[in-house]
This record gives sequence, structure tokens and C-alpha cells, in this order.
Amino acid sequence: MSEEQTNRNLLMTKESRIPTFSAYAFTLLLMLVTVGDFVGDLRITAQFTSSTPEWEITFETQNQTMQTVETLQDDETRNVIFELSDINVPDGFKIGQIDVVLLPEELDGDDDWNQCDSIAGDILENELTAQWDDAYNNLSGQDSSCLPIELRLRTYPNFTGDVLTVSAKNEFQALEPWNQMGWGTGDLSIDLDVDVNTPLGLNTPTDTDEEITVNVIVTMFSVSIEQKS
Amino acid sequence: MVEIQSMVPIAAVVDLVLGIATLSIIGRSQGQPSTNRVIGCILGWILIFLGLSYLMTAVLEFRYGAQAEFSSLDLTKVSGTFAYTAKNLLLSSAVVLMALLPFFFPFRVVQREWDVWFLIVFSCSAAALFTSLHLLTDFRHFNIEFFLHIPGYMVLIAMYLRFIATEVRDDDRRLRKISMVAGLLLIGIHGETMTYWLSQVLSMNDYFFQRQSIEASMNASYASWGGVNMRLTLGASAILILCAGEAWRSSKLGLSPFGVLTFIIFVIGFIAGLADYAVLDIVRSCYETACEDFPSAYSIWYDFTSEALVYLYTPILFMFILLHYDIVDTKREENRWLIRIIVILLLLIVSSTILELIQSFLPIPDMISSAALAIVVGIFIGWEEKIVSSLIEGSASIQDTVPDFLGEGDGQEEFSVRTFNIVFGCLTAFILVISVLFTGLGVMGG
Repeated sequence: MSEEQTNRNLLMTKESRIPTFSAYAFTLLLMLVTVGDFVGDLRITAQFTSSTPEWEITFETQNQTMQTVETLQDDETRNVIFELSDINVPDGFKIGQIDVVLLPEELDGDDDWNQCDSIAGDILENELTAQWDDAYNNLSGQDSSCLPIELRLRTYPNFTGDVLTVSAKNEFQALEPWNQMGWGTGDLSIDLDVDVNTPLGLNTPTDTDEEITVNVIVTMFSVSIEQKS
Repeated sequence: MVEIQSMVPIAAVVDLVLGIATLSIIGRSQGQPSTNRVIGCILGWILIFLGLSYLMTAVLEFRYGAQAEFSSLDLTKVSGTFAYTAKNLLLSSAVVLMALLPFFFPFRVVQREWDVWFLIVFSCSAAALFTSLHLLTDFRHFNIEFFLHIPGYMVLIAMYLRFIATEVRDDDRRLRKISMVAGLLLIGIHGETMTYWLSQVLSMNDYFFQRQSIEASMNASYASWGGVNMRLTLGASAILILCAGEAWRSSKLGLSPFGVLTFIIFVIGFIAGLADYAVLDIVRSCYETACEDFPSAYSIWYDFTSEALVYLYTPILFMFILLHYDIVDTKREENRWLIRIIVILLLLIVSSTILELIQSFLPIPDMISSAALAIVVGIFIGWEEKIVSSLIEGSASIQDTVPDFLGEGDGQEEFSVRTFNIVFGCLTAFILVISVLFTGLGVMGG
């Protein structure tokens, strides 16, 4: 090729040959460096988008109990407050449920003298952050046969404590429903109500009040997760 | 403040107006060399394909509410619709034409009589091939057409370096026009990916594409990802090569406006790379945790740089090439009024869009932004003559600038604009009809 022809070449001259091939080499190198990452990510992404693995979520629970004993006169209604901030929640744990057990003075379940007092308890809806409308709750109870009254309030959404199997793209998404903060904060307010039964007769004991033991059991949980094979 | 909205409808109007006007002027410029008319037709049809594609995207965004981040679409909402099918196929045809453009402009590299026929046959064959492939695979391999950019990229890079080297060696300032247009074409074709150059060099763009795939429920193939990576690599390499070339040229001959443009894109890419690195945790959140939204500052940055470059500045860049390289006959008086209208229209549309964008993050009252727009309109009307003249004056075709680089009889052969337009008009109709048919058959998006 003559020098004139080389000078009129549209794509390359003697001076531009080295820079041009260097530019091509740079482009090829960049392509090779990035293509590995792209292919690797494509494989991961394809797996991620095409399958939804199953995860087994297990709950470790711990309980803490608060107790108070209240003596109520006949026909008296008394409000008892439990401050949940007094509960020491360990790191990684959340409050899942609150159980309340009201224990009357006589606990034999046998109304021999027809003297079992009628007691009632209500968990009052207030600022306490909980699942107030959950069908699982039992917010009111009443008894006149010397048996304990059991009330319960679910604080954390959908908490049962049972092992769960969920489908999710990754561990984070599987655990997302169990990472909410703020549930179970506030005061638990319980109304106690007593109607004393005094049987008629000369030798029967007289009874004008009732001692009620209120046990509040706060169930806390932490979760652990494992991918099902 | 106004809500940030999509720029796609603006881009559709701008591209369609410019494309139709270009074809109209080319059709009336019988005295122009055939090479210029071929280039005008290619640029005109690229703009029309892009404009129609953006129009379909606008339909998808407004009718289906499918707008997702980074100008992408939520496929769960639009997959299988006519607009989505047509949008992709039209974009595919635009990519094919853009891949062939460097073989015709600034020079007809093949320099044979049959090169235009090759362009027509290749475009039709590629359209048929990609249409069949995409329709039968439900767009799993979409983006594979970006591999076609490789030969054109090699031609433009070689041409840019060849003419810049000769310009510096011989101090022949005429040659600047060639290296500049090669660079402008690289920006026109790879502009968006140039703004991601640092992210590509640091190999971070795969995370962004991964996020997009997860968010948009894309089921992309190796070919599709390869095409995307190819596009990003060519853009990153192109801006680094242009920057090196312009830095060298500036040190020898002084700074030029094209050099400034190159350095601006380089800096934008650098800042964008740092911003991308800063939000990498958010990008990865879709895979590792759950998708988190990008900070609004990041979205605004993207709107003003990459998205504006694609939707607003690229049509203006093509307009500059059309006028400054005398591809359309700017000297004829009967073309002047149309050129004036196009120039003012495009500048006004883009200016008003930029004002709206600014208003989206700065608490400027509507009264002030209206006044600002009125000032811009006033400037454009008052200086209309000067703006158009500055674009047209100093314009010269490649044939006039460097006749010594053209073979004898170059550009003298017969070329029928009408045939070209009929073929590509039929291609557009084919794409629209097949999109309607396949959507109606209910086989897409399954």
C-alpha cells in the first residue's frame, strides 16, 4: 500500500494504529472483567426469581410474671394497673402475649357452703399497643364457682409460639413479619369486680369481702429461622 | 414544587417531530448528494423508530401505571400488551439502524454501489429475525441486538483516533470536523451508558441490573444480559477513549467545545459512579433483604443526567449533526422556515422540560417558573435568527470539508428516498400489525 493510500485510509494511519488497537484491547479487557460478574449475578438472579424457598421459623419463649393481691368489698369494682415497662425484655426478644389469671380466695372449685363469691375481670382497652381486635383474645371473664379466671391478650400480630413454615425469597423477607417494634408497650389495665355470696343460716361463716390474686404472665419470644431443604 | 414526571412523552414528541421533518426536508432536497440523503433517511428513521417506541412507553406509563425506576417498566403490569410488544420491536429496529449508521456517516466505509441495498436488506432481515426471536421467546433475549453495535463502535473509535492523530500531526483543522462527528455519534449512540462509566469500570452495574430484574420480574437470558453488558462496556470504553483523545488534543491544539462536552460527560459519569457506590446497599437490598427506595436526591441526579441525556439532549445532538454537517439542505430558502420552526420548537420543548425538572426539587412558585419560561421564549424568539444562523453558518458537508478523503464519484450514484421511505414505512407497519396480532392471539406475556 502506497503512503498516499495509507494517508487516505479512513480508519487507520501509521500514527493511529497503536492508539486504536490499544483502545480495542482496553474495551476487550473491560468486557472480560465485567462479563464474569454479570454472568455470576445472572445465575443468582435467575435462581432468586424462579424459586421461592420455604423457611421454618421457631420461637423461643420466656415468661415473666407480675403479681398483686387485692381485697375487694362486696359490690366493689377496682382498677389495677400493671406497668409493662417494669418487665425486663432480654435483647432480641419481643412481647408476644399477656395472660392474666385471677385467683379467688377459695380455689377448690367446690361450692360446699354455697359461699363462692362471684368475681369478674376485664382487660380494658387503652393505649397499650396490642392486637385488641384479635379473635384469639379473651378480655373478659367471670366465675362464681371458686375457679381461676383466665384472660389473654395477644400483643404481637399473629404470635402463637408454634413453629411456622413460610415461603419467602430470602431470610430477611421470611423474618420481616417478626421484626416489628413497639408492640406490648404501655400499661395493662384490669378491672376487678366482686359480688360476695353470704349463705343464709346460723352456723354459716360470714363473708363480706374477697381476696383476689392477680397474676400477669408476659410471654416474650425470639425467633430463629432455618431454610427447609 | 411539582411532582417529577416522566420525560418519555416529551422525547416521543421531540423525536417524531424531528424525524418527520428530516424526512420531509430530505424528500425535497433533490440536489443534495446521495450520501447525504442516505444519512438523512437513516437519521430520520432512527428518530421515528425511537419516537414511536417512546410513544408506546408513554402509553404504558400513563395507561397502565407501569413506570419503574431508571426508565424501566414494571413487566408484571404490561407484559403481553400491544404497546409493550410494539415498543420493544420498534426499539430493536432503531438499534439495528444505529448499528449501521457508522458505516455511512461520516464516510461510506464500504464505498460500493450496493451498500444502501445492503442497509435495506440487512435492516429488514434483522427486523424479521429479532421480531420472530422476541415474539417466540417472550422477549427473554431482548437486548441481544446490542451486540450489533460492536462493528460500528470499532469503526467510530478507529475513525476518531485516526483523524485526531492526523489533525495534530499536520495541524489540519479541517479534520477536526470528522473526529468531532465520530465522537458526537458515539455520544448519540452510547450517551446514556457513558454516564455509567465508573460503575462499569468498578463492575457495579450488574447489581443495578440484578435489582431491575428482580423488581420488574424479568426473566432474562444469558444473551440478554450479555447484550446489556456489551452496551455498558462500549459506552464506558467510548467515553474514556474520547476523554483521553480530547485531553491529548487539548494539550496540543487547545480546548474545543466538543472537548468540554466530553469532559462534562466524563465528570458526570465519575460523580454517578460515586453515587452508585454510595447507594449500593439499597441496590442490593432487593436481593439481600427487601427492596428499598432510592433517596430522592439520587433520583433527581439520574433525571438530570442519564435520562435527560437520552430523552432530551440526544435529539438535539442529532439535530445539530443534521444541520451542522449539511445533511439536510440548509441553504435552500424553502427549507429554512421549516428548519427555523424545528430548531425553536426543540429548544423550547427542552428548555420548558428542564424548567419543570428544576421546579421538581426547588421550591420555585409557579409564577416565577412561568416568568422564567417567558424569558426563555423571549430569548429564543428575539435571537431566533442568530441561533439558527449560528447552527447553519459554518455548516459544511463532509464532501465539502474533506473532498480528498472521498473516492471519485462518491455520492453521485442514484438513490431513491421514496424507496427507502416505503421500505421502512412497511417495516413500521409490519411491527405494528404483528404486535396487534400476537397480542390478540394471547400468546405474549405468558
